[in-house]
Amino acid sequence: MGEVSIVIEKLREAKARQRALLWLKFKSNKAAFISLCILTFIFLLAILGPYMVPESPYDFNLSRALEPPSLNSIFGRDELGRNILSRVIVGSRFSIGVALLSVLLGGCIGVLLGLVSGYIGGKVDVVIQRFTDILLAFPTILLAIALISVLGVGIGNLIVSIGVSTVPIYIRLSRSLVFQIRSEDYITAAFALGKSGRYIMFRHVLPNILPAIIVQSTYYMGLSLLLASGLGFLGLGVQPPIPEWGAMIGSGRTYIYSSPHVIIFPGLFILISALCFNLTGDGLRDALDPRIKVMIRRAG
Amino acid sequence: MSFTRYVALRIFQAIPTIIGVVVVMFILVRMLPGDPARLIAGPEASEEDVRRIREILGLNKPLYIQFVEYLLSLLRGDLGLSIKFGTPVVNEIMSRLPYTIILAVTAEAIAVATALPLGIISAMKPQSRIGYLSTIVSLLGSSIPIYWMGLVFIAIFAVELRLLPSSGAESPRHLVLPALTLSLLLMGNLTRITKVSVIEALESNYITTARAKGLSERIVILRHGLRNAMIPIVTIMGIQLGALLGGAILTETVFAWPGVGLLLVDSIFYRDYTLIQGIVVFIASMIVAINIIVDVVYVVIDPRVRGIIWGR
Repeated sequence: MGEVSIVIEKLREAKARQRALLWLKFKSNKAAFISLCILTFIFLLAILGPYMVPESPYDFNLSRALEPPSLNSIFGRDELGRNILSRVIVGSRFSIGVALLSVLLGGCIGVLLGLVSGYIGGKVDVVIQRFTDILLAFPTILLAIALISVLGVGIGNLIVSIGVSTVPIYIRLSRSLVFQIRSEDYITAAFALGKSGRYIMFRHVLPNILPAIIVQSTYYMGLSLLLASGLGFLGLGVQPPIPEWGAMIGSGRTYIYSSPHVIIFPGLFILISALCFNLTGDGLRDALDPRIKVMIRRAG
Repeated sequence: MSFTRYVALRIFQAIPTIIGVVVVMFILVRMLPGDPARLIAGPEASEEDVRRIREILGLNKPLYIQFVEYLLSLLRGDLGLSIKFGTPVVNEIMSRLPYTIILAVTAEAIAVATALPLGIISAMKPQSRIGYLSTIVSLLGSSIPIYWMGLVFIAIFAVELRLLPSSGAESPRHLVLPALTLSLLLMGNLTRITKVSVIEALESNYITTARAKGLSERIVILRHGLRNAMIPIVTIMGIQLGALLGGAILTETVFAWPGVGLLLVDSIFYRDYTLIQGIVVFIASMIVAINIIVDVVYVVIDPRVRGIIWGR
C-alpha cells in the first residue's frame, strides 16, 4: 500500500509541475498573455460594471443627444443623450454573458452527444451523425435566426438559439476526439477491469478530451459573441433599451451620417473581445502538451 | 466506381439530409405561437374567413398529411405562397437570388485576389512585412463584426470621402462596399490556409526534386508548390460557402442590398412564416448541393483521390 501512495504522490507532483510549465509557456507568449489580461478586465467590467459607471446607462437627456466624445463623456452620447461609456460598460455583462452561457449550453449538449456517438458507436452513432449533418447544412447564423424567429426575442431564447446552433460543431469536435483516444491502453484496461460504459465515458474518456474541448471553446466564445451581437444588430437579439453591444450598433446605425461615434465604441469592444478570445485560444493551444495539440489538429 | 456512379451516390446520400432540413423547418414553423390562418386573414377577418383560409392551406388536416403534401409540393419546386406579398415564395427568392450571387461571387473574388498573394508570400518569407500583415489579416478575419465594419466603411467612403454610395444596388459602384465588407469574412481563413498549405507543399519531396533539377525558385513555387497547395484551398472555399451566405444576411442588411439575406430579415419582421421557411430550406439545400459539387470537383482535380475512389 505504501508504494501505491508514493506513486500517486509522484503523479500528483508531476501534474502540478506540468501545470506550472503550462502557465510559464503561456506567459512567454506576449500576445496571449496581454489578451488574457484584457479579457480578465472585460469580465470584471461585466461583473462590477453596473456599480462603477459614471452615470446610469438608461438615463436619457435629449438636449445632449449625439454629443461627440468629450472630457465629460469620453465615448460621447447616443441618440437619446445616454452616456455611451456607461452603456458599453454595462453592455459587457449582456454581450459576454450571452456568449458564455450559450457556449456552456451548446458545449454541454454537444459534448455529451459527441461522447455517446463516438464511444458507443453503431446505430447510435449513425443517428447522431445524420442529425449533425442536417444541422450543419444550415449556416450557424441562419440556424440561430430561424430558431429565434420561432422562439421569439428575449435573452433566454437568444442563449438557447445560439447554444443550439453551435451544438453540431461540438458534436463533430468531441466525436473525433473520442475516436482518437478510444483504443488507448488505459481505456482498454478500464474495460478489462469490468468498468461500465458510462463509468469509462465520464471517468476516462471525458477527462482526456476535455483540455482540447476547453481550448476550442475559447475560440467558440469569440464566435458566439459575434453571433449574439450580430443578432442584436439585426434586432433579433437583446432588445433595447438594454445596452448589448450589437444592439447598440443596430439602434445607432441611423446616425452614422452625422455621429459615427455612436457605433464606433461598441464595435471596438466586440472586435477587441473577439480578438482576445482568439489570441488566448492560440496561446493555450501552444502552451498545452503537444499531444493535445495534435489531437486538436486531427479533429480539424 | 465510375464517375457517374460516384456522383449518383453523393446525390443519394444527400437526400436524407435535405429531408431532415425540411423536417426541422416544418416542425419549427408549426411550433410558432399563433394561428397562421389568422395571421394571413388579418385581425379584422371573421371566423368564417379564417376557417376558409385554413381549409385552402390544408391546415385543418392531420400534421403528417400536411407534411407529405408539403414535401410533394417541394418536389414540384413549390415553396408555398408568401403571407405578406401573396406571391409564390419561389418567385420572391428567385427575384432576389441574382443579387446575392453577384455579391457572394465578388466577395469571394476579392478575398481570393488578396489572400492568395498574401498567403504565398508569407509562406516564403514569414518574417517579412507581408508575413506580419497576413498574420494580422487572418486574426482580424475571425474577430471583426462585419456589419460594424460595413458601417465604418460607409462612414469613411460614403460620408467622409463621398467616393461611393452607401446603400442600394443601382450601379456596379453600389457593389464595392458590400463586397469588400463580405470579403473580410473570408479573407482571414483563406490567407491562413493558403500559407499553411504552401508551407506544407514546399516541404515535400517533389519540391526538393524540382529544385534539384535546377528549376528557378519562381517556377518551383508557382508550378509545383502552388498547384498542390490548391487542393486544400479549393476545399476551404467550398466549406466557407455557409459562412458566405450567413455573412450575406448581415452585409445585405447594412447596405440595403436587395438579396435573399435582406429578404429573410424583412420576412422575420413581417412574420411571414412561409417565406422564412422557404428561404431557410432553400439556402440549406443550396449548401448541400454545392457541397456535392465541391466533392466532385475535388475528385476531378486531385488524381490521388480519384485513384482511391475509382480503383485505378
